[in-house]
Amino acid sequence: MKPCNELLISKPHVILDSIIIRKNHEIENREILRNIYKEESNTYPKFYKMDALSQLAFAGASILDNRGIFRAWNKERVGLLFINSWGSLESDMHHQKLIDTKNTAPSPSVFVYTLPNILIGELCIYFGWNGENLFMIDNKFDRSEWLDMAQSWIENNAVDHVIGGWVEYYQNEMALQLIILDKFCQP
Amino acid sequence: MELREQLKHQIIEQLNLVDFRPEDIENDMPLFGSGLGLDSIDALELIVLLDNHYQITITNAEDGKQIFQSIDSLATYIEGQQS
Repeated sequence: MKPCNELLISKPHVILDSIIIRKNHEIENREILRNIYKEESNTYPKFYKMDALSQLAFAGASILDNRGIFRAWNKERVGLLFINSWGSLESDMHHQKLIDTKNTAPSPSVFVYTLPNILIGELCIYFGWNGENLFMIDNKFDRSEWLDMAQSWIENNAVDHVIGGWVEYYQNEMALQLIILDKFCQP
Repeated sequence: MELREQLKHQIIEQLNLVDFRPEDIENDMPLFGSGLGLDSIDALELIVLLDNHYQITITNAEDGKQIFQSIDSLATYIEGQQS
């Protein structure tokens, strides 16, 4: 089974199915994500409260959504399978910094993002998806391994559609490789 | 800055309400639900805001429902605690 769509977001550009759809001129990664959100969605103010990892995944999903890729999906049969190497360490360190700041209490809205799989929850809440989900930590992204696992979910009739891949945001380095595997899609 | 205006600035900053300006928030506008649309995590942020900026600790969750109804109710509570 081949991927139906594949989206890459990195510092210099956004690539959808091997075509550059956006050149990122912004200096800051968070500014890139905010601008993608404004251009592609701009319908969910909670985006601004998300941590960078969730914003990265949400921005990617917004690009796909804006092109109608989820339109025919059965929302009850969507699997989400994500991998990265640093987990939520960016938010973990932010939270630790707030703990270490004297005479102030840490922020609850930072604390809630100190788990990487929160981004899966953010996507499911916004898009109304239900199904299998898994967030794994690994040193690097093995694309063929991801495809095997996603395909097994579909072949075992657990889900009809799988979205996920590599989502990494740490120390101002960001990378999203968002892959769609779909039972009904013939790429 | 007057307390109510100060609270509006602090809430917008602490809660990342980028779509709002202080002048968009009426003093009697509900902070939760149909007004500003804050959620349960925002309620915790408001508790932290009171603690960090005004050294006020809310210990009873039932009190919070009354205190966080609007900018007016929040300001009245702070003024009561500081008098």
